[in-house]
Amino acid sequence: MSETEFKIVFTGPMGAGKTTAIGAISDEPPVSTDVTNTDRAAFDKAQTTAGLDYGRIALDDGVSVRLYGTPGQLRFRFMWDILGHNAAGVIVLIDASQRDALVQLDAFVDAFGGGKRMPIVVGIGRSGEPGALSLDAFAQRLESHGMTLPVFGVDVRRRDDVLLLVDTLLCLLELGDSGRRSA
Amino acid sequence: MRTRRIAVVGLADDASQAFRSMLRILDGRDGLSWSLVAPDAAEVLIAGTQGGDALARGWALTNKPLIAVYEGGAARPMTPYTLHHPFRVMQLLGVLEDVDQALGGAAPEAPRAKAAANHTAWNFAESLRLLARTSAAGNLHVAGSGAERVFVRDDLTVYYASADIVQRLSRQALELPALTLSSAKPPPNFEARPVFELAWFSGWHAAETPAPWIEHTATYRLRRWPDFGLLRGTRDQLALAALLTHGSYSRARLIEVSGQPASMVDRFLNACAVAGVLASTGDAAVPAENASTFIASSAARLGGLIRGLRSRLGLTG
Repeated sequence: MSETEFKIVFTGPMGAGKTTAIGAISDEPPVSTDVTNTDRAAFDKAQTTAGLDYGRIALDDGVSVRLYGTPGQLRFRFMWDILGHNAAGVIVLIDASQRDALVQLDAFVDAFGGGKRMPIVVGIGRSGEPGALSLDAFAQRLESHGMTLPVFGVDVRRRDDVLLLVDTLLCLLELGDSGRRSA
Repeated sequence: MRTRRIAVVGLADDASQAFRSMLRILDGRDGLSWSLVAPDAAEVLIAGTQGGDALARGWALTNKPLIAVYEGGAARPMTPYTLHHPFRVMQLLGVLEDVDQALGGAAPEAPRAKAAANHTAWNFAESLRLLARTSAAGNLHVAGSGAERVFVRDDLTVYYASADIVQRLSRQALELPALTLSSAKPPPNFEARPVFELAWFSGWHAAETPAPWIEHTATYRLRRWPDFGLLRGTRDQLALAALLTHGSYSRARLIEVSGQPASMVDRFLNACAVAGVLASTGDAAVPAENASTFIASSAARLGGLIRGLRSRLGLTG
């Protein structure tokens, strides 16, 4: 992180709600590099993010909190590394109704260091839909990999749910920060 | 060499074989030997849901520590000791160490006595904890009467209650008696809700002092985060959860490090215990193995930035 910026990354598969989540807290509508979704068989969505989403929260004294949403498709994974560099933390959004949701969870959590390089908070959407995996399945999946990450059932269309994810991230940052100060 | 006696009940063949193989690998580790015995002679049970009612009745509601094994997409039993099959040998070791500590560590012949929950404030929560240790036979247990009833499935997936009860649950203690087995069915207007919510708030509102099963000298950590998306967690609760997933703390040390009132910490520990996410580690001030270190710039600037961001987002309190 530079002296004047602080970066939070929103990541997850296509359709998990990254653009919506950023839009819920950004000062301005997020800039999205959308293109036509050519994979309608996999996901019935007209547009998808080919580059990234960008939002911003301006604080006092010229400090900006920058919000980045990664493209969801694996072929854009190289961008995850770029966007994750020097990020303060990562919010992983997963759609529980997707058949390969647990595999997606593994991929995105692993791509950002499994919570060791920076704090990770996981938001699970659509967990109440018929056939969707339970929240317990996601927590258990992480436990089997030795990770105890926050995993919350959320609806990113609700601003309060997005704020919960962000506030949890900030609590984890404060924990890491106080640990260094007391060392 | 200390020896503890453990019995296998209701496990599927593959889980039972895996457990027995792992037990042989772990035999003698850290001076502790686990001996396979019949359930009646055991100090600890490792149990699954195979075997039917006759087997289940044989060990249901026992006071012995029970390691619940669940498989596939089944909901995690709300009991302190669980393993998801297939489990690894180090996962089994961790659970066995937890159980050994709970039984008093070096004194296997005189297991630490757990005080019965005599206090009426804990009757319902204690019965919910005990229900977590029974077999899941698809039965309903009920507490209360009339519209003030709460039904709980013994597989701890859902509870049923009126909309009024569900609303009041998060705000105040419901003062329910202990759960009892019932043949009654929930009225059609009762809502089906996740049991974690019932367990959490029952533990949270029961008292502002430690629950009977919270040991002042023990150290604790969280096995997993509570679902604050469901519970609508507060900042204080988030902060406590962050601490307890990155380290092990005694009650006193947690109060000191968190800077929160004892009543808040006690409520949090109680709720986590009833909800089955609290684990005793038995070793003071040992960092969790997966404690993370985060990269950040100046500590002073980060604190100011976080405050500024919270203020900007309206995250007060």
